[in-house]
Amino acid sequence: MKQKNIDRLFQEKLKDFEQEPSEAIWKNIERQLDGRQKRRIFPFWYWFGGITAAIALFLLFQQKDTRTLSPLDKSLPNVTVVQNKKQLETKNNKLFREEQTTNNLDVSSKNIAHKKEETIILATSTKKEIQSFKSTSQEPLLNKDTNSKQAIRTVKNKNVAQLDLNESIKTTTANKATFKTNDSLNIVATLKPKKQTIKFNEDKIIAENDVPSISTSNWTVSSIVAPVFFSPFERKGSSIDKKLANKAKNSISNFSYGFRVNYAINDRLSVQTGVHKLALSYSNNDVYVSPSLESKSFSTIASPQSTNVNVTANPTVSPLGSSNQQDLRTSVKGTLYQEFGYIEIPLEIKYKLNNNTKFGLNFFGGISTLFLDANKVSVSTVDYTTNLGKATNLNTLNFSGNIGLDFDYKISKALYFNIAPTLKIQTNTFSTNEGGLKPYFIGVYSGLNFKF
Amino acid sequence: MKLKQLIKKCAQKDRKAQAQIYQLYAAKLFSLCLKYSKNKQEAEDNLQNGFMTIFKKIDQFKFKGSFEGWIKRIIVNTALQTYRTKGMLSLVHEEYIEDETVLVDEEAISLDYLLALIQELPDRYRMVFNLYVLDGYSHKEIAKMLTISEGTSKSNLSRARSILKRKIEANDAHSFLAK
Repeated sequence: MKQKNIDRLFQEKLKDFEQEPSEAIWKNIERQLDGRQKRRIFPFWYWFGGITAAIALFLLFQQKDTRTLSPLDKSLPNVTVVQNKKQLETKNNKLFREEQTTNNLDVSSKNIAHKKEETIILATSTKKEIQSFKSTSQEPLLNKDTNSKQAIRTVKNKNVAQLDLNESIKTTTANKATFKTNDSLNIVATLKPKKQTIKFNEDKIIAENDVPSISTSNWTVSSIVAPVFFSPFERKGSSIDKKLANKAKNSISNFSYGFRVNYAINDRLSVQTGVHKLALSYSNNDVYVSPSLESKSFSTIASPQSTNVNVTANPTVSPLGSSNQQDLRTSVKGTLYQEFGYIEIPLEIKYKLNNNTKFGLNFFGGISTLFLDANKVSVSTVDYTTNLGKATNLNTLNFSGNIGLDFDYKISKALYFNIAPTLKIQTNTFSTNEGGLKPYFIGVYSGLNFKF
Repeated sequence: MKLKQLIKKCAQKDRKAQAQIYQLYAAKLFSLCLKYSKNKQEAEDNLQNGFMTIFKKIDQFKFKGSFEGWIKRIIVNTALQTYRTKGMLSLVHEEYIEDETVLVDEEAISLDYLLALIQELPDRYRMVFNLYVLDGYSHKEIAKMLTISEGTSKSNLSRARSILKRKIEANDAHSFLAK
């Protein structure tokens, strides 16, 4: 026993004190960390539900295009095909097994609705063959399923597939019901030489291989929307007729919307494409409208028979001048509207200009292919609006050169917002353009971008 | 440096790095929690909450000063926060002791016993005693941390000492063995 300073007593005794907490603590922390991350993700889905639609579109697009994306993967599937082949050759009914594999892979990766259509067409021409095969093909349905599992497993093992195996099998099982309707198509396929069947098989495997490679790469998919203005700096002119070349022109705000797919080649450079629906329109003031039994407004407008007005650049006296009603005698002022819309497929290269991870500044340029899908000319006066018909001088296929700036703001690792003022100069828009209107449009594209 | 990389990975929410940081410091920080808490259960709660704060704020650590010091401060603050929100015991009277020594058989006294004594102290005494004696904070710092005056901090410490002294001396091995 001796006198000891209290502080020192505690300090010395507790100096090297350490105690391991129970293992449950880390498990709790881990759970809490997970919970936090989950909570953080959820609201984004809530806020931007639209992004799911974009992803669905992307997957649809993706499935159609897989064959063109596959050069890098070619070596891998070859191995798989050989294996597949071996596996198949051990079976007695060689031809029939191959048919089954094709069938199963086919069903899991192709649009069923589309196939049904094919089936119907083929069914009529090959009814007899189908009937003769039908009894044999119905019978081994169960075998088919197990066989397909094997085939899919082979594909998975050969790759760094991230797709859930069980899910794929589930899909196959779920599709079993549709086999019956697909059998007819399938039988037709087996009537062709064996090599073709294998080749078809290979294609399908390539298609499967591409799915995992997408999910691990630098893909971004976006839903985009933009207000667009057709030739906003042209204050006069029209594409319809040279008589309208001096008429005041107003651009009308329209919308373009669609989705975009972006692939990052490296930190700076990326390529992007997509599908946009684009509407453009403008109006010409001070045209003159008069009632008429036979519309012959401008040579570039094909009017339906029911049109009962005539539009001219200058005031005219109506052929019904003898009538007592004044408003039938002379023409009234009106506004001529031209609307045209396109399906736009852009192909652009984007270059990142700064190093900020939160705010990105990009420059991009490229071309768009535009397919005409809307065409309407109408006229409106104070009293009424009438459809004049279609413009005949709009080309169904034309192009645009695109340049723009792209500002993006990162919301989270997987999600960013971008806004891109863009100028698109059109070429080959009009087959004749006597009114001298330069075709171009300006859009401010904003998008929600989901990064994979 | 390895620790630096670990910390950076933690800032990127890398789960493996978080687990490693936890394993590196859990024992040290748990002992700290035990000293500042009433009992084991509270200590575990504080440890868990403290680590959540560490992982949440780890990107704010700018590699100035030691990382261990930084995380210890977070743990201490977590513990203080617990009792701050619970409301500290208000003290009835002040008691000063002149003699800061105690008559003990040092060999016979175990660490567990001393820890138990600390845990039994009223909340604020325990905080002040820990902060001042075991973790080297000054009365000025303590006053700030606990939003009390320096004088209160000093008197709390003195009161804590006197309780501990009384218990050790009175005690005897009996009450210790009884535990």
